[in-house]
Amino acid sequence: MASAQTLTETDLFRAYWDDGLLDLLGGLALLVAGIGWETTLGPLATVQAPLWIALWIPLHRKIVEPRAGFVRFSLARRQSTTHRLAWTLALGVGVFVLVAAVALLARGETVQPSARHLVAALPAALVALAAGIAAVLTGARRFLAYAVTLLAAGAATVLLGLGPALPLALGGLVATVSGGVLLRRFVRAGDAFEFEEGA
Amino acid sequence: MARQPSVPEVDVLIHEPARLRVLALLAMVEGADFMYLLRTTGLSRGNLSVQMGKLEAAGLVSLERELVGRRPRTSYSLSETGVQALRKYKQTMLSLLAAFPD
Repeated sequence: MASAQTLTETDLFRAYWDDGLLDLLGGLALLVAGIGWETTLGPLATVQAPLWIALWIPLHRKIVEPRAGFVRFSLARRQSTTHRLAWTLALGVGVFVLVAAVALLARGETVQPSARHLVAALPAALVALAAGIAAVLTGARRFLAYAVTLLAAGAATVLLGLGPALPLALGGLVATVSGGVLLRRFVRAGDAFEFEEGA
Repeated sequence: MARQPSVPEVDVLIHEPARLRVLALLAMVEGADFMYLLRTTGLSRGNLSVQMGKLEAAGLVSLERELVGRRPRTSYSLSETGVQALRKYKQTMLSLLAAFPD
């Protein structure tokens, strides 16, 4: 919750994302993509990712809104968010197309092994970019932490000669655990608040 | 004979701390429901209910009821009267605070 001493609309907007639901869904999308890529599906495993993100609106209404309440931000804020969201979605689609293209390229026999390792880190770097944009969009700094995790895992991929799936799965795991903890805390606080206030 | 200058009068409906917090919050957003106001202001349910009743009766806030799926949602927002009253309150407070020592 934002400090009462410096409360602004920006603080309220930032606090709006503190429930962890977006982290959890985004993390699961990455985790499933990483595991699916490594096991059987290859780059096709990334196709399921937008479905998790699409679950955000109905789950937010079902889980978050009854506990946090409803707020409608100013028209300027909503327009700015919609504008940025459109760019983020376009970038997201672009990222997944690039990830698939990069993965196919990395499988080619003409690619040098050293270049293949660099190419294998690109999916994590691209998703890290998306996480950085999410940090700007929501004002939540933990998305920057996810971006750093993905970049570090991508660097490890290059150094250790691993495949592209591992950094995705690792970044996804971190975001899933973080989102799960935040959401659990949020739901417990909401339920306790409801009980105390309703008593 | 010159008129005696008077200290501006503060609107006590707005000046009450709980109502002031609610109004400041509603001035920052376009609308919010009871639960959001409850969680963000930290007021008790009973207190907030009383204060919202007073603000609504004075015409400073307006209510909007809508159905979201099958769930009714009631959200509060500042009315035009409320916006004007807050502007006047702000001017009054600024002029009073200007007299305070730094």
